[in-house]
This record gives sequence, structure tokens and C-alpha cells, in this order.
Amino acid sequence: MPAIFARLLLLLVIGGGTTGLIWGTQQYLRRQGRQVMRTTQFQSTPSIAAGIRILAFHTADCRQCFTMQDPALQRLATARAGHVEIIHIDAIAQPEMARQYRVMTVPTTVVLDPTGHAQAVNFGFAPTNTLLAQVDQILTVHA
Amino acid sequence: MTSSAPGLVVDARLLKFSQGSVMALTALAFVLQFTPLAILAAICLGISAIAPQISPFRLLYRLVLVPLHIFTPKRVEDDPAPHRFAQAIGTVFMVASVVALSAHASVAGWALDLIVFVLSGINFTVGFCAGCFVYYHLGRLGLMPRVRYVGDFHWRGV
Repeated sequence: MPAIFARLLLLLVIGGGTTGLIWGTQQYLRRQGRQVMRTTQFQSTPSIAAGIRILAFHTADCRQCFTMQDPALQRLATARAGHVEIIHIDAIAQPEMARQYRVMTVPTTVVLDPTGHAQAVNFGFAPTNTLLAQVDQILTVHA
Repeated sequence: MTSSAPGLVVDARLLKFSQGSVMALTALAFVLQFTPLAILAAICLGISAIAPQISPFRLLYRLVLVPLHIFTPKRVEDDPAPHRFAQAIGTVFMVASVVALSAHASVAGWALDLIVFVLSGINFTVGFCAGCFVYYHLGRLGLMPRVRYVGDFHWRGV
């Protein structure tokens, strides 16, 4: 086989293998999210009528929580004022909560319906549009 | 809840175009064993990291591809700083690759080139930015500008 084709094949193997590994990791995270949605219920009464709560897990030294997630949550709270309550949770200070919601990274956001069941889990930064779509889906179902 | 952080946005399509271009340059350099392409990748990445306004990827994207409607800008919420850091890491790897190739250390040189290919490929295909991951962890270690939580979701720089 000419050397150039051997190198091309090597590139494809490396690229494909790495992409497969990352894809497997993403599938694992999705399974963890689904597990949270099946098994957990937040034991607290909503403080607003609509009752949608978002658990926003952070840590004291999480830069992305500050620079990205917090402003996105603020925009969501403004866009859906009166419908959404944001509950900030320090994953280090409250390890039981972090374990219950299988928090593996910060930021992590968990969108709860009015009954306290998780309807969406976002490991890593969740942009405003994603959160809006998740909240609107719950609002539609519980309208 | 309050925050002093401004809204941060990046052009996701420009990022994808840059990542795809780096992938293409590093892959072609390796397949053709053509060092000038590796040098070109190093220069483009370096300019993107140091002076993003005159990045060759950005100029090509803004002055040619967008006017031709090949790409439409897509502004999304994201912090540009980690992406620039990732490009700086890529530059370091590519410069090391070129130095190794110039010193006839072909295996080390092409291995470094392939590392950049793989990392830009991962970012391009599944959106995981390894350089950004390092950036945030360096922040936690105090080696990057960082912020601290001071209660009730107020933050301050330290």
C-alpha cells in the first residue's frame, strides 16, 4: 500500500476512534440524566404559583458558572418571570444533593416540574435557549 | 440573584470554520508530509489566539464566506476567552511540531501535528473543547483569572 494511503487510513482510524470514545461518553451522560429524571423528586414546596424550579449546581471556584450560567439563568428568569424559581446549590457544600442528582461537573442545571420531578438535566453550560425550551415544554404540559 | 458578568457571545460558525480549517491543514500536512502546511496552521492559530480581529480564519470567513452566503453567522452565548486559550495551546503544539520536523524528529513532529488534528476534530464534531477544559481547570488552580463565590450568588474577582 502506498505510504500516503497508509497515513490516510491512520488518520481515519484515529479520528473515528476518538469520536467514538467521545460519543460513548455523551451517551453515558445522557443515561445519567435519564436516571435522574426517573428516580428523583425534589422535596420542597415551590414558592411561586407556576412551580417550575431550576436547581443550579455550582462551586465556589467555577468560572463558567459565573461568566456563563448565571447570566443565562438571569435571562431565563426575566423571560419567564413569575413562572420560574432558580435555586442555587453549592455542589461541595451540599454533597448529598449533588449525589442525588448525579452532578459530575459544574455548572449543572436540573429543571423540575411543579411536582418536583426532574424533566431535564444539563451537565455543563446550558444556554438560555435550551433552558427556555425545557421550561416552555413543562409550561405547555401543565397549562 | 445578581451578577456583574456581561453577556458573552461568540460566533459558533466562525469557531467551527476555524476548527475545520485547522483539521484540514494538519491532516493534509500529515498525509502529504508537507511541513509548510503545518507552519501555516501554526501561524493561523497563533494570530487567532493573539489578535483574533485579524485572524486569517476570521478574515476569510467575514470577507469571503459570509458575503457569499456560504456561512451565516450564528451568535451563541459563550465565553471567547477559553477558545482563544485553546487556540494558544494549539499554537504551542504546532510550533513544537514544526521545530521537531525541522530537527528531523519526524515521529515526534507528526505526533504533535496529529494531536492538534484530533483535538480540533473532537471540538469540530462533538463540541468538546479540550483547551477550554484546561483553561477552566487552570482557573481553579489559580493560574488563570478566576472568580470566587461570596454568598447569595454574588461573585468577585480574585
